[in-house]
Parts: sequence; structure tokens; C-alpha cells
Amino acid sequence: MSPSRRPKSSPTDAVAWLAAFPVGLAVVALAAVGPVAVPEEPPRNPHAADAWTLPAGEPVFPADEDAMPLRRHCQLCHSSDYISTQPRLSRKAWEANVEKMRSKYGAPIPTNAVPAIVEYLVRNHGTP
Amino acid sequence: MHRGSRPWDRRNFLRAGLIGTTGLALADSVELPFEFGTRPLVKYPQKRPLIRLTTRPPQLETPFEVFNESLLTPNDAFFVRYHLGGSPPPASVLDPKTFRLTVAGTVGKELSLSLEELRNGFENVEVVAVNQCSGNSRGHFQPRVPGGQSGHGAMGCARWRGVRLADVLKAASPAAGSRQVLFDGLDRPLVPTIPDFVKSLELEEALESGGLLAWEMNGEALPWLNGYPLRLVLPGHYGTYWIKHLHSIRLVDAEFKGFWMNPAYRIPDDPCAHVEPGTAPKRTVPIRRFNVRSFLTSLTSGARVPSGNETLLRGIAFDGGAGIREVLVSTDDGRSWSGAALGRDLGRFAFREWTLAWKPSVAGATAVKVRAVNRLGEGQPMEPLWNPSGYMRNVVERTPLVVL
Ligand code: HEC
Repeated sequence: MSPSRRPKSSPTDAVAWLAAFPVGLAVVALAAVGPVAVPEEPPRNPHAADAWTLPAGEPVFPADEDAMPLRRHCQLCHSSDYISTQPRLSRKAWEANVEKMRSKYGAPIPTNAVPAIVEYLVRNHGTP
Repeated sequence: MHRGSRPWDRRNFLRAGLIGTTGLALADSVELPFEFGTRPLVKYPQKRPLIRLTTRPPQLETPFEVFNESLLTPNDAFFVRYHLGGSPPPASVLDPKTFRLTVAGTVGKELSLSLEELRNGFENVEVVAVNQCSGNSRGHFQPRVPGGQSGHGAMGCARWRGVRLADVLKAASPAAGSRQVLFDGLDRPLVPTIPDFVKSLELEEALESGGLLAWEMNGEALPWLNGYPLRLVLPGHYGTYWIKHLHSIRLVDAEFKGFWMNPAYRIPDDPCAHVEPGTAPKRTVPIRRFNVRSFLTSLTSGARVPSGNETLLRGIAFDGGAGIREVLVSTDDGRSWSGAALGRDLGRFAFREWTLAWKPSVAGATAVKVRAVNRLGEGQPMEPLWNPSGYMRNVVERTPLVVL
């Protein structure tokens, strides 16, 4: 197929998108399907060196006494925002969540640490 | 919305979230329209500031305005979703000079292909296709469910370029009795007890899917956070199958039982993937193809629209690959519906633009609703359907407006 069919950048598409505003211009081409063959091109763009660094820092649970078990056990495999962005859940749902971390993902959380974790989750993100 | 004093309140969270990051001011956050919906806007490599759901591993959502900018979602605004703590893989393991894609397992001929060999050994093809997270819009579920609490921005549409998955599979001569194809990327769990993120497809499905092994997105190399240097593109299928940093394809002669196929990423085994809210499904199947969705993009919730003037309503619709047949729009909160004009057709897997001229005459509160129908006659429900994992939301969305 013709290489000219291939827009190189999104600005092109932005223009096409704007051009499509007048309702009458709407084109209904039903034929377009599946992958389209295009000519081969040499490899491009190994990214710039500075493209490989993530922003530093991450949110952590507060240093309060009652959040300690979560600081210890719940920000090892993922950041605390995995938890702080969750909705209010029932006690049962939070218990199931902590159990999932232990049984499915192998979280090394001793059984006697679980009640305090669940208490904290219910107090801060529990359904009334 | 926020009750009592909680350690995770907005201030605390943002303060914590900004330690050592980019020095963003408090204003650089957005409120998604559900409880605990405050999210920082954070700049990542090759990305403009995006809505950050989680930090480690990164999950970034596209600000919804972007979908009104262009039909193809720019690479620097495309959403990011990782599962494993060891993500994204560092540059050292993604060196295009040493990178190899292996095809192994129940094959007549094992393959180990460099990017060069992949590019030169097979026909290069392109497809414009939507990628959407299974849990896109999960934050809108009622009752709420655990999981990544996304707004509507865990989706995007791009032009992908690569080689056909089917061509590469055939070159490996699948042995008789091969049943499934497994896909694995270079991202790794942080601890060995977390199951590696591996997805499977039936071999037949993989051969007929129209899938691509893609290295390019909208005319540029894949961004690091979108799978550089190679990813699976599976048009019409949820993003969970679009393995990033893809380096291993394995054929097997049995059903794969990996965690991320079962119990994860399962939906109720019924045509609408739903159960009674609050209940568990009796039988589940792996999530597969998109259902039909449509959005208004030119106006956001609470927008003020002058009466007497013509306003051009605009938005997008898409489905799992049948293609969009029609889009109906209501400007009176669902009482009456008009057919919208469909825009350029970029293919049956792409976002389809729709437009409708609207001249409001009555001042006051109203709402715009949009619903699309695909070429199989499948549409969108007027009431949301529920499942315990918060997958596949496709209710007719409602945008409240005020006519002045
Ligand atoms: C052994 C590693 C590990 C530990 C420790 C761990 N988690 Fe997780 N957690 C995971 C993984 C893996 C996921 C899934 C990540 C994904 O899919 O993005 C996850 C996801 C979650 C989610 C999102 C909802 C879901 O089910 O996917 C929540 C909430 C969560 N964890 C809470 C916790 C809490 C609370 C603790 C402490 C009790 C904890 N985690 C400790 C590994 C862990």
C-alpha cells in the first residue's frame, strides 16, 4: 500500500479531526479492516538517556503508631497509594484483601499482625 | 465526602506523594468524581503530566480532555498500567541491540529473533486500535469494588506498526496438539512469591486475532512505559493481553493455569458479564473483548452552554472490532434521541468520532447521554451492570450540563 497513507504524527490527526467538524463532511468508509501492509523501514529511536528515570519518591503511610503495621507490611511490594486510593470497603472485604496478599502473593505477614492491619483499614477506609 | 480525620486525607496524601518528585504545587492534582478520587498529576519520562493512580509500580491515567484533542491518543498522554513491582524494566534489559524475542514450546522450529530480524523477516503491517484496561472506569462502580480506581482515562487509541502475530507463530511451525500460546514480558515480580504476569490465548484465537507484535506507536518507537521495544497488540481485546516488553512466546499443549488467567481477570460467564450487585458469579471465564462504549468529549460535567446558539457536541465510540454502526445522543437526559454524524473511519478497532449540532432553547439543568450500537446490533445498557472485579463498564454515560 502507498506509504502516503500513513500519517507520521498526531498533529496531522489533530488537523484531520478539526477538519471533520462540519457535520456534512463526515465520511463513512465501511471497508477499512484489520492490519494494513506497509513498506519496511529501518529501525528508529533508541530513547534518549534521560528517558529512563522515574520520578523519585513515593507516598508512604503516616508515622503514627497505629499505621506502623502497614508501614511494615503493606508498602513492600507496592506503594501505599495502592491502598489509599481504594474505596470504603466492608470489614469482610478488607479481611479478604489482606488474606489475598498473603495467600496469592506470598506477603510475609504473620497471622498476629493481621487484626491491627484490618482495624486500621476499617477505621480509615471502612464502610460505615 | 471526607469524614472525620483520616491519615490519608488529601493534604497528607499529596504531601507524601510529592516527596522528592517534581515539586508540583497542590494545584497539580485532579479530583475524579468518586470518594478518594484525588490524584496527583505527575510528569514521567516521555509523558506529559498524567493522572497518577499508583506510584510503584506506575499506573497513570490519561486526562479526559485529551480524548477531545485528537482521535489518535498522543504517545505522551497514553495511559500506563503495570502490575509487578519490578516494573518498568530498566533500560539495561531493553537494549534493542541485544533484545531477542523467543518462540518456543510445542513448535517444530524454535525462534530467537532480534528486532532487526523481526522487522526484516516478516511483512510489516499497521492497525489503528483502541487499548483499554479491563478496569477502565472502575471507580464509577456502585457498589464500589476493590482494584485500580480508574476514571475513564485508562484507554487510548493509537496506530500500531509491527508484524503479524500469526506470521511469526506459523514460522515456528506449531506442533500438532498445540493448544495455547503464552505471552511474557520483561517486567518481573519484586518478590518470587508473586506470580509472573503471563497471559494465554487459544492457538486458534492467536492465529485469527489480527494481533501484531508491534514496535511502533503513532509513528514513533514505543515509549518506555508503553512496552519498549516490543509489545503485543491485540485489537478489540482488553489491555491485559497486550503484554509490554514482550520477549517470550510459548506454545503449550494444555490449558495454562497461571494466576493472571485464573483467578485474576475473570468475568461472570454470561453474555453481559454481570451478576446481582454484591453477589459472586457461579461460573467465570477469562475476560476477552471490549463491549460497546461511547463518550461525550467536547463538554465536561457541569459545563455551561448558552441557549440560542449552536453548540457542536462531539465525542468518541468504539467496540471490540465489529465497528460502530450508529451513535445516538440525547440532550434532554434521555427523553429523546437523535442520530449523530459519524466521522472518519480509521478502521473497525479505532475510536470513531461522532458529532451532533445542538441548539439549546430552554435554560436550566439538563444532561447529555450518548449510546452507540455496533454492526452486530450490540448496544449499551441504560443502567450499569455490576461484577465483583469492576470490569467492562459500558453503561450509557451521562454528562450533566447547565443551559444559560
Ligand atoms: C508480597 C507482596 C505484597 C505485599 C507485602 C502486599 N501486597 Fe498488596 N498487592 C500485591 C500485588 C502483586 C498486587 C496486585 C498488583 C496489580 O495487579 O497491579 C497487590 C494489590 C493490592 C491492592 C489493590 C487491589 C487488588 O486486590 O489488586 C490492595 C488494596 C492491596 N494490595 C493492599 C495490600 C495491603 C493492605 C497490604 C498489607 C497487608 C499489602 N497489599 C501487602 C502484592 C503485595
